[in-house]
Amino acid sequence: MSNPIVANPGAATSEVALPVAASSGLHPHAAEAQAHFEHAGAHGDGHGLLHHHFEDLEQQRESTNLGMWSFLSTEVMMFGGLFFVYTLYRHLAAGAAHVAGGSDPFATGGHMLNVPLGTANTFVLLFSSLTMAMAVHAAQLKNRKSLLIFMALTAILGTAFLVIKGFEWHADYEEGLVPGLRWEPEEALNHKGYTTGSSPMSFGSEMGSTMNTQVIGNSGAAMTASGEGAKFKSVNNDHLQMYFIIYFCMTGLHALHMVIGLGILGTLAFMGSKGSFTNGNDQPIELFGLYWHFVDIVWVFLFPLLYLIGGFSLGGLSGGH
Amino acid sequence: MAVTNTQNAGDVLPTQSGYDTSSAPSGGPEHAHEQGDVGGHHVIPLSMYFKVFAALMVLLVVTLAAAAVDFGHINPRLHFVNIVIAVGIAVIKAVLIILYFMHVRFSSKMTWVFAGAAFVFVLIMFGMTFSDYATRGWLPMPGK
Repeated sequence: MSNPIVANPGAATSEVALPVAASSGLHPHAAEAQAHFEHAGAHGDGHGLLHHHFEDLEQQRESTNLGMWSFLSTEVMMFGGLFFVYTLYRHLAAGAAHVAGGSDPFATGGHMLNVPLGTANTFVLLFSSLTMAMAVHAAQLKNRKSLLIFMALTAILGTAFLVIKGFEWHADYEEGLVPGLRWEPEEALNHKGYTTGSSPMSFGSEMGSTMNTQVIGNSGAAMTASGEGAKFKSVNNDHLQMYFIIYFCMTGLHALHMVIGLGILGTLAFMGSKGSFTNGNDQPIELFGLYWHFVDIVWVFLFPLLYLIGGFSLGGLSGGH
Repeated sequence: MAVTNTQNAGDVLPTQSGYDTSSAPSGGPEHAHEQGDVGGHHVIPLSMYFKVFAALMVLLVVTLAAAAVDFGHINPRLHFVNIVIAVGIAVIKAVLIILYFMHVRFSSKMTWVFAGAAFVFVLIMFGMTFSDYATRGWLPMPGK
């Protein structure tokens, strides 16, 4: 596949010969490769972008693309593991709740989340994916101003996502829904019609029973959990905690990815302001775009699984199952 | 479709700088040199991005609407429909993002393989691990 060195007869004179010396398979780390590299920069054309271990820009582009996808595969596996945990525990908890006649812990947990804010976050991230795609587009068209504008927009949207998330987490803390940090869910649960109250039916843990002395009376009524006249639906305290552990782990890992993404985005924006990506070297923007879209896809799956499983009604709580 | 080097006088971009795939010795993926090409790879028109975004928004609304309907209430045996719709729509959204925003639709087969591989790995992980849990207690040994 190596080609003899061919001069390009009709070439524009400012062109430097293709680096076929390097592509002959010998890969000489010698004066030729060095000279080519330096030469290329001076000519201000695409050559300066070609790293010496690639045959041409197309191969380089393809390789970096595949490299990024390899990394994303590992990320998919990492989040996939957490999604598996979610699936398994949801299945087990739902089964246990069904047997005990209590409320599905995962649906209950989903009810405790703020669906409007979650929806807003979904919209924000999808929009940021659009602006990121437009940033890549701008880089491809060598439009520095547009590139910076869209990168800035993406950064603003990403930050908005984190702000909303932080607000949600704070609200969860206030409601006592953070396992290990502040787990006092009874009041918040009561507001939505649930209780972890102690009763044989709810098979709650010690924690559930000692925590809420003032609602013991209510949970007595909740004894007939699925019957008429029950004041609150009973839910297993431990399983509910499990839901929130999974919730914070998954959204936490996702938020960490967002933070890292914003950091890289800022760095790229800084470099982009100097024209590093609008001279033909748009590949880094494209690769970061892949990462950003991946983070968006993770959220696209997180949102329905965490927020919407309990069902919801626009006019208040429908009460789930 | 080979662009010979003698024809590049009028080109905006110098085609023999390596952008031109048809002269590349490595034989990279075939690209149609259409209007939308810059640097030998596809530049997707903005309108396509907007259309995909519009579709994503529609799907978001559909997700919410479907979640508002409690199929378990209608018929207890239809309880699973909620989750199927939710995950199904999420998958469609993800596919749209992957194909268009992540340019996979316009990428080489190799990229398709790498992107698909991630999905296959997850399937294997789910499949094997679930079958472990699903077969607990089948054997008279502890922990099996």
